[in-house]
Amino acid sequence: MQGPTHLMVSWYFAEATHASAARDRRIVAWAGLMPDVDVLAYLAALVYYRFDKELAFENVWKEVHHRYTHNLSFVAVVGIVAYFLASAGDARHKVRIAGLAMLACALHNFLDVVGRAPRGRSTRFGRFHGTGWHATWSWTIGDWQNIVIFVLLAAGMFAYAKARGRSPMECFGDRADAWFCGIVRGQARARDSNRACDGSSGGRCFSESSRSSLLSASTRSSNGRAAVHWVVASTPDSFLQGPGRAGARAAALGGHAGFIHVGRHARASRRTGPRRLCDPRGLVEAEVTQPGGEKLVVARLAAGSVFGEMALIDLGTCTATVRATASVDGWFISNEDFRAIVSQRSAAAVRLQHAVTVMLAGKVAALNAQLLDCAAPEDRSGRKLATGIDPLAGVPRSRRASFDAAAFLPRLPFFEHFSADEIDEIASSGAYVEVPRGQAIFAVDGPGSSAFIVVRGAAEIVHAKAGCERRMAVMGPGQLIGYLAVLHERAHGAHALARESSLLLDIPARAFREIYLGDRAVSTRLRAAVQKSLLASMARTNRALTRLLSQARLDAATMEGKTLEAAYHGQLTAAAD
Amino acid sequence: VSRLARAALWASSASGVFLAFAWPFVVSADPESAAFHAAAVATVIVFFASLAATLAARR
Repeated sequence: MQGPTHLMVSWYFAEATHASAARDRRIVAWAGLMPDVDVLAYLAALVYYRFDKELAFENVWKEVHHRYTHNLSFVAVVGIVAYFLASAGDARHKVRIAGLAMLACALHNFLDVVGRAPRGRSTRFGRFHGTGWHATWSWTIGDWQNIVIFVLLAAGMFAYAKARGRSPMECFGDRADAWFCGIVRGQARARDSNRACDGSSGGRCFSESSRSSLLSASTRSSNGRAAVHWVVASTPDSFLQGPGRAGARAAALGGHAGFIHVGRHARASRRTGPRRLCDPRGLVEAEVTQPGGEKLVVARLAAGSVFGEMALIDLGTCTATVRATASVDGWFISNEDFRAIVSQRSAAAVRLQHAVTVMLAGKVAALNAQLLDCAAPEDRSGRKLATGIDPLAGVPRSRRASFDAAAFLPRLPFFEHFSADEIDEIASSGAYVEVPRGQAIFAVDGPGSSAFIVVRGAAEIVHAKAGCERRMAVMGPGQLIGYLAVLHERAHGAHALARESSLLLDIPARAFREIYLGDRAVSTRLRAAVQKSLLASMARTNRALTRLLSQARLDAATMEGKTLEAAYHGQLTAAAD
Repeated sequence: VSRLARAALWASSASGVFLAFAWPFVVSADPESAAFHAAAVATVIVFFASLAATLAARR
């Protein structure tokens, strides 16, 4: 078969067998092409014989091709090289990649048995060395079978790039792949955009006559998803800064992000393209519907603000209506495109996903601060909770839980999308710790030395302020706690106590960060799990805020009633006097 | 479907390696045999079909 066919087949094979890192997929893909490296000898012969093709073919190519690189010995060499080139990881990971590379290389030999026989001579494919097995029935390079296979693989490259945001172009680097996927997906997005704007998709247009609505509460497009998922009312440059290859990050995001302009006259336009810069401008306001139907503007966002990012993580109904109060220029990215980016597991994708996490964490922190500023009926006098310490510093950990935790972990919500191997990897990076009821797990200003997954029991998160404390959340089995301090490498901002006798999976900060910032499949899953945890925190805080706001309004109404009643009774008293 | 496709992919890969490197020793040294021809072509078809199915079923 042709060289490009071998390269594509090997890449698809790496993708299908879950070679998670781009580097590993490249290794497997090129390993699948490696037996044809003997073509270099032909090229050298061409130069040696001053481009006399006949001489080069007869004296070198005919003798060399399929002799030295199409055999098991070469497969073994490829495996050894792949082992040392495999992306950073434990020995088991390297062995796996070496095995996949050897298999790809061996499959090249097999595919050449079936589909590679130059006319006039038979294919020779070796067993342990490159001699003498002939199959005269092999398809030649130009036979229709080989052509069909090549065309199907090439067509699949477009389809896969469009559907998954990744393609065999990855063999030539992340930028090449991002460029190719950007073109393929950009065309699809432009078509969708046209449909959305002419209303034929059943989706909403983005503006009204005077006040343009970007996101609308309880509104979904015809396919059940929010029409716009994330808008940066500025350029996405903030996500393109930082260490590493700026070009790769720009390509990763620029190929997917689109430019949006929302005007004042029911006109919305979206364009795609790499890093089209625009003047950050515009104002939007976000409003929510209060219990009872009253509208409340909860935020006014200016240039540089980001909104709608929650829909990147979890498709669902918008919780607020965001309206443009002036013309807005910004960048948008759809949920599907975001998923395509982060599934690439490149450095740019990790950074982008982390940026969204940091953004969500900031919003949760701001909401919590607002919540703590409001007095609540559940405030109680504070206990004496030690600060600045690690309460579990001397508590023994164990690699094995007191019950069969390994069988139990897959049932926890945190591990919902993890495979068995990935759960095992997370579990083996930490240790179990039993904590009795009332025991502190971490303390305010204590070091963020570990993140914890509640396996059994429950932990309560407590904020203490001015002699009062408030329980912010009770985290049951499958919930992650203490991870923000670990990710930000700072002290904890709240207390965590065992609500009841609990079993926790303690993941040391270093191991947690290593997995979280890695480029493996488990890393992507962990980042997604962290984001879901943040979303749950945000929803919980939002509910508490709404409850307190409603309570405050009811209290205010009662006070007003009492005042009116007092005034009424005062009048009666005055008349009697 | 996903599991089935993955199983078929691994099976056809193993089968391909067997046909390329072990068949001459274990079954027959004659590459022109109809059995080898049929097995090789069938393996190629199963390999590509299962590869496509596995990729299509990937989440």
